[in-house]
Amino acid sequence: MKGMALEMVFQMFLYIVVILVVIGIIINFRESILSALKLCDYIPGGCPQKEECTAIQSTEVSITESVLKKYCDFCWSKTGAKDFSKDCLCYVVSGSFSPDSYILSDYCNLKCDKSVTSVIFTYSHLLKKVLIEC
Amino acid sequence: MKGIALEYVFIIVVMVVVILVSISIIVGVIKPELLPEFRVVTDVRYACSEYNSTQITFENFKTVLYGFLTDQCNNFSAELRQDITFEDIKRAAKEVDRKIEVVQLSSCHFLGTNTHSVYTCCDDIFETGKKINITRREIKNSDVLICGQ
Repeated sequence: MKGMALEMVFQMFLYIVVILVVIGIIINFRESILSALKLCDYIPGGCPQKEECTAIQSTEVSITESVLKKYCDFCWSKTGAKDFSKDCLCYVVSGSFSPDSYILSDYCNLKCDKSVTSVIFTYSHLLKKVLIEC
Repeated sequence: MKGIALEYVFIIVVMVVVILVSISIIVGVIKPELLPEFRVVTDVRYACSEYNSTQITFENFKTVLYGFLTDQCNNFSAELRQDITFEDIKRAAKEVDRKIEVVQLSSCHFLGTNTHSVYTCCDDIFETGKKINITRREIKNSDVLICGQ
């Protein structure tokens, strides 16, 4: 009877360890598990988005106000709008650019004041702005 | 005795299932890109200092660029013994870290942001016999600026 009792204790201990390990894994990777099982829509607040910053090379015939707005908005939507926590190189756009008094969104800061053949859109975490430089 | 043996078989089966499920969860959840990269950084500070103000080959340039991208060198200037193109620099930078972007600028200056990228100015090629300057801000993961003279 004593032997059986010890066996039970060992089993209980084993089960508790296994259960704790599984619970630990689930808690640690809950966000990944939820997104893998596509359950993000069903939890309040959804799953936190991963911060991804990839630079994209693009070519335009000429870089006009609408082109500047387009790329600035794209850059802002993937960085500033998501409260991105570091600087990001968003786009390198090739095309003829001439400086002018362009009217852009508040979060766009045009810093290129010369005629060039490519402009660079970067997000500044410090300024919370998309910088357009050359 | 038979009952105990069966019990053990059942426990072993349960344990095997639990282990397999745990492994599959870990393998499925931890994607390779999420795993931290254990990168060994070679000390090239001596090379940066030794090659500074000398004539360098493309191989020397690659060593120095590695030093800049791993926060070991800050300022460097040398004369080229071989042509180095924009594509060469791009390849060399990607060998160090495939996520690093190499961008060509129209003038030799740092941008207002710091994205751990390599910026070159101003032509597609740095020619043999010409001087090349490499600088970085003295901060972690700084941009690297490569200009010709």
